[in-house]
Amino acid sequence: MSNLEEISLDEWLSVLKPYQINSIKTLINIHGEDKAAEIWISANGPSNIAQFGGIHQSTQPFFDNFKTEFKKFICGHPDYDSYRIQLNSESKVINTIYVSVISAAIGATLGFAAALLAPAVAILLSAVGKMGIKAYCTGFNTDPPVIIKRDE
Amino acid sequence: MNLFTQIVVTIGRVNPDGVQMLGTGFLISNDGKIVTTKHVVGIDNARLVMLAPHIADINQYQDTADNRCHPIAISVIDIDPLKDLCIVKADIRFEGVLPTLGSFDEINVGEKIGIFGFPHCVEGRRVLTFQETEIGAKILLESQGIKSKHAVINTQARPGQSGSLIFSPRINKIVGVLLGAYASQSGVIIAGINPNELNQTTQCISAEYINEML
Repeated sequence: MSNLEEISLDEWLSVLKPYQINSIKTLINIHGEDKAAEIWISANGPSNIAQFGGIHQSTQPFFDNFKTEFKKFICGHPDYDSYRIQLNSESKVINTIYVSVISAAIGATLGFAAALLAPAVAILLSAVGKMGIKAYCTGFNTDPPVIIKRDE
Repeated sequence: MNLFTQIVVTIGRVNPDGVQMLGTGFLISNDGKIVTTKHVVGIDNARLVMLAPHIADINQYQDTADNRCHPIAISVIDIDPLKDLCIVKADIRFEGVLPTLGSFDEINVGEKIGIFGFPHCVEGRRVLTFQETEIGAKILLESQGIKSKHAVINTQARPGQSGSLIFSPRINKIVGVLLGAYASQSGVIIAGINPNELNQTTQCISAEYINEML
């Protein structure tokens, strides 16, 4: 995953369906990249509509969880070792495979569709490429949390 | 008319007590692709099912005391969260001829449309219901700065009808998907209902956006 910086935002977005590309580019123009990813994952259609189905849930915790899992994936957390091995077997970064594998991996962890995650994954991969993996992962700890034992 | 008994289905989720019905969906491909809304499916991808059709004739009496069903697993294959649309897929094969997808561009204000869906299914009542009304207005609705084509239809809808199919008998096409009712926040909830949602301005999105997702 060392040459992410060679891929532009447009190349990352090119793996998406045309309607997704159009929507994401509009969101980026209005809100910027990071906010566009958040809006895509958290949006629930036009406002002022009383929706007649499903179970109403807040999507905010889901976006925060998504960002946490994305960081774990990029920064070497053992939860995603098998997926990273799969990606590292490619001789170079192939944007289509990266977006689909990372979306599927995080979707499996969080229990949501890879199809929803893919545009947000593409945006965040572009951001990591611009920043560099080392800078993006500064301060990230791959060790599992230490459990504090309390006396019974 | 009986075709719709086979292609309009209930979407639900399997839980320890059985199937919790979440809303309506409809078949749009012979290999089992089904359209519903994003909010029907929600953010949890697990244990989603469609319920296989329970009647073959729209004139048949639907036994509301019969709570047996045949759930078929579905998986989410695409979601447009800005337009509140979702495509799911079941491992089924439909051998009939399906209505094609159209657009609100193709019909006029005042024209008759038909609605097929499952009002009250979220409350455990499974009744495939046909309603007829007219297009009251064509509108653009904005979601996060992106506008898309919708229509106001002149009827009241209730929970369970999200994902219902809107059909034009004149052009013989599916022209829209029911999303819900216009409702500003009233600040008052009575028995779980925002009084502002009790109106005859039901909001539907144009079916043309489904094609982009397939």
